[in-house]
Amino acid sequence: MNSTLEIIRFTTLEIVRMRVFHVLIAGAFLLPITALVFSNLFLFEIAKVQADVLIAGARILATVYTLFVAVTLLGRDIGQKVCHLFLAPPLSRFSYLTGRFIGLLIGLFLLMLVVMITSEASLLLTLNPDGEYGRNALPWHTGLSLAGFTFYQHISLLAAVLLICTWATGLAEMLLFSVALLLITWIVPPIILALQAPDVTSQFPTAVAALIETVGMILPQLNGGNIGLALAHGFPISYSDIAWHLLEHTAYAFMMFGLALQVFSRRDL
Amino acid sequence: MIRPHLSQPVRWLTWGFIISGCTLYICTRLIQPVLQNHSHEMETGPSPAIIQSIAAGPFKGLASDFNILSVFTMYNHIKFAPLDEAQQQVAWQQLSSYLHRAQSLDPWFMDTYRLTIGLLAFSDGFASDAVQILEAGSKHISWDWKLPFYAGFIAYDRLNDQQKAFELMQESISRPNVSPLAIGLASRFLQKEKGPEASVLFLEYMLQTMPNKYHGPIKKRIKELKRKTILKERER
Repeated sequence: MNSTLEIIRFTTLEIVRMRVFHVLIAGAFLLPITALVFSNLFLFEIAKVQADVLIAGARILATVYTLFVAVTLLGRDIGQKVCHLFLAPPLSRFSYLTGRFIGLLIGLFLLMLVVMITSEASLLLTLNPDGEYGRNALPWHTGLSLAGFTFYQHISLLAAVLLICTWATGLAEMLLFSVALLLITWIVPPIILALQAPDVTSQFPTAVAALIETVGMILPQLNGGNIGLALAHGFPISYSDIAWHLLEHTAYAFMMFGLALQVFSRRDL
Repeated sequence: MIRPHLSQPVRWLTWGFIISGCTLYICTRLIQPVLQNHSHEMETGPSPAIIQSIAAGPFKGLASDFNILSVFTMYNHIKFAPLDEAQQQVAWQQLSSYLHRAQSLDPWFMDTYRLTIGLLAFSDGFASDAVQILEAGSKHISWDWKLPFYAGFIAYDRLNDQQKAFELMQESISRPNVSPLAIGLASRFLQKEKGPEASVLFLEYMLQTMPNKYHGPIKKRIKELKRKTILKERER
């Protein structure tokens, strides 16, 4: 347990000292300014456009963190076998990977905390609390919700990236497969959704429609695009929708992390 | 001081690359607007809705915002660029496509509907597109009576489709918080002889909700209707 805590502490410190991380933090400060400038190009729904930019920005920052902080750190550790320095008794492979994963999550949490503070501050300072949602006002918790959702959505992606890094052989492979995974989680859910529309499925034979439905069930809906839309318009999201979305991500994170541990325990280092 | 590990000719060559690159870039930026009297967007138009929704992934809201920005650009081209008749038609078609894309990506974005009413509804040949966009939006924004009402009004005034107008206005007045004005106007629209006066009243109400920049097509329609009403009165 102590050794896991030590790895968590070490990973967090390592991330906080990375230059990429500093750039990402600077990006979190620039985000509200970008949102303000962009939203001023619009006519009516200024608050909605501002929230759109904040949501997209938070997502891009988290994605860049996943690719360029998590993958480079794990790529150096596993790909270049630097983890040999840590993997001496009493530290087990399980403790090492768990520590690294939690450390990476803490780094992402810190980044999203800054995003939350800057977003909340800009929304509170620039919008009218008594105005119309979407037009010149948003619920007070929009910044908190967008940063929270982005953080949660990236836990499962980080776990999947961890699995890729324990399996791939070098940094280039790890980056390539991780980018492919991110693209799949962005692109596949809308394709499946479009293919499941009643007017489209009616043109397919029953077996093909069933196959599409099965693929839709197997592949995770990690995209969260509709939640982003609801947040930007200040619509209330039902607790059951939030719970199902979080549960899906939790399940996926557990699956990926479990598989990563399995692959890493068998890997010839 | 660290000296660069480049020989003198190679150093001159690198500076040559940098300077020629900068010069070429500045030239293209300066010459391009002179040579092109219409933008790249006007040649290609927006990508198909399904491609946009797939490519947008988690950034649906932002993708919709970009489509609206393209609508602004396109409208400026239509107003200020020297376009011939055919080019104007293509530009309006593409403006309509951008509004369709914005609506399908984010059906709750009200700017899409305001621009549809302000720009598309009163442009020749695009009223049915406007009705389609507003009708699709009214299905998502089920708490708002205005969208089906506007759609119904355009169907009545521009398309002369009484059946569609009746259905949409019926839908509108069945929604919560509908204004008494809307109920009164709906019944007057559907009485043929009172239609034009009611239309002028309603268009004047619409003007209050639109920014001055987009008043042009609506004001034009008001003038036409007033002229028609005067002619009818003279005939009587």
